Amino acid sequence: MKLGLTQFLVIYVVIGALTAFAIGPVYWMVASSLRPAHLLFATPPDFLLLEISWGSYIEVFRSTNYPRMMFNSAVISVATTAVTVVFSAMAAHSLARLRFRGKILISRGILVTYVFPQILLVVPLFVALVNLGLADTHVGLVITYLTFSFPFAMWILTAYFQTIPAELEESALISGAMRWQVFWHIVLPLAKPGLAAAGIFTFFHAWNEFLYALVLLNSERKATLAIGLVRLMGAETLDWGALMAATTMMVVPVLLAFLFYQRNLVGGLTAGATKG
Amino acid sequence: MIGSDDIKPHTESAAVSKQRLNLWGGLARLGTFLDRHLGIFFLLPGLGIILIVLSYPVVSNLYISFTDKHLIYPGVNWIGFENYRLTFADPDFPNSFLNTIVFTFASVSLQLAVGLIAALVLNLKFPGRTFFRLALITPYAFPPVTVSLLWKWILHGLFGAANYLLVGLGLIDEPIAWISQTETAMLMAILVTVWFGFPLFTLAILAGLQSIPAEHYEVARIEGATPLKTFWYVILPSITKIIGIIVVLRTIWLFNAFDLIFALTGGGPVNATETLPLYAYRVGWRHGFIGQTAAIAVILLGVLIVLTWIYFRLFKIEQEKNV
Repeated sequence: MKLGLTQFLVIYVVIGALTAFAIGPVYWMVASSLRPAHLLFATPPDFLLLEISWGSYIEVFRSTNYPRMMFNSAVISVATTAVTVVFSAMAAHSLARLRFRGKILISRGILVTYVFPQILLVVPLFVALVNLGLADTHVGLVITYLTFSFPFAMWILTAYFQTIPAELEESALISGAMRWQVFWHIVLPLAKPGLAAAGIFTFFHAWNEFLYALVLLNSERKATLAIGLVRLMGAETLDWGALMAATTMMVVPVLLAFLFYQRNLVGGLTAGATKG
Repeated sequence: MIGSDDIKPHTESAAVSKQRLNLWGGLARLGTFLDRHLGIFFLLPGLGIILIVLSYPVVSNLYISFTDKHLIYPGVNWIGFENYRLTFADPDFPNSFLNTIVFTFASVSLQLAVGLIAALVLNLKFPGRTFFRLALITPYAFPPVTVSLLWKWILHGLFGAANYLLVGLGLIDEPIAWISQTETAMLMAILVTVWFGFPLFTLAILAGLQSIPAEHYEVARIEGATPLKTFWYVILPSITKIIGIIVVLRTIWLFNAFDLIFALTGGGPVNATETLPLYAYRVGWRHGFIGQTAAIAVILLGVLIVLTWIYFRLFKIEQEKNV
């Protein structure tokens, strides 16, 4: 399809407006975090960021326990991802390959759990973890994160394993390989894109999660970034420049990972969406 | 160090070595058995996790919803439907119900509209397409609480960039406290979720568009179809399914959304943006009645199931056959 000059103009106006809407706020967040304190509330605002200062970032590290929160979030997210990917890969492969009665019930059931509101699970999980003495612990929090990460990973991976031809596995079995060898040496390497998508999404979800952390973690030392950030805002100990610095630091790791892996992620997600 | 067993195997009596042979043989048989039924053993831990962290809590929540379980006070009594009666009698319930409906549907529709336009444009060939594609999906990577914080600053009543731009362009006369005003707070919650949510629609629809064979466009061109007709007869039919799926997922997500609104407005001002999840949270963790929180959650799930069912009928999403 050949496009004329007018059509190009229309395209760029539309895409320009959309882009301004999408990344204008991102620019503003970063710009505000790098703005010297005396320009933060200036009128007109310093849109072009002519002067740069790292003062807000220093302020975040000086007056909050930001590194601790970041460490907590990282540990919790890695633990959730490890548990989720290992067990969901095993279960999803079985679900994709095995023929047994009740299979459809199980896979539909897993899809249904995706509909469960967090608020439906928060009371019983909270009560159970308090009774087990796991309230205000990271182990308890990781257990609650499995409620959303596990069905989601199962969903993506079951669809992914179905795209791998079963004949590959069957011919390896016929030539005398053990089933675990087939899984380890043939299936898993082929499923790498799906595993990466499931892992990265799980990490994102755990890194972003708010409600469970809010009700389970009371002590300041254990707080994750998500609840820590909102508490900092409520406490009003930081000005908006420092708050934007803290926000930027929470966004950057996931944003970079997302932009780097986005094609892979979209592939995994749409495979899950169209097959599931 | 090597174990002492390995140093003097030749001194073993015949009985011991036979026993050992049995042990190894047994282990090997066990290994073969495990491997033959690997499918089942791979499934078990996953099923265990689902049962413990999902099935048990759902049942437990239903039970708690019929009790007077309190956040702090010990002791639990069965009180029948009292929590449900209290909820339906509370004027805050219809308010939050209505807020949830308005918030969810306004946000889903706008996300779909913006996402569709972006996808249609990105599907054309023009210089700089890759850059614009990355730029447009950027908001999707933001953790919800950071979305709220960032927009709270942009929409700040006194020093917000939005007010400055709008006053400068002459669209408003004086700065507006967008988030702390009952008239505009819900609008802002919707705007913020549209910013965060449209990229998923763009990505999914774009994937759908790229799966349309070029010949279909060619046929439409030869037949002399107008762009509008091409859109209606060639493009739309091939993306309805993916749109349906994303609309369902997004509706569920928005219906349950807690973090975004909580961090943006906290449900205020004066409950203007309090949706059902925030209402349930307030009843349990501000007032202590977590029995009633459980009841509200059951009601919420009921509404969600009805909604999902309607969607499935509407988009004719077929039940998965091959899973």
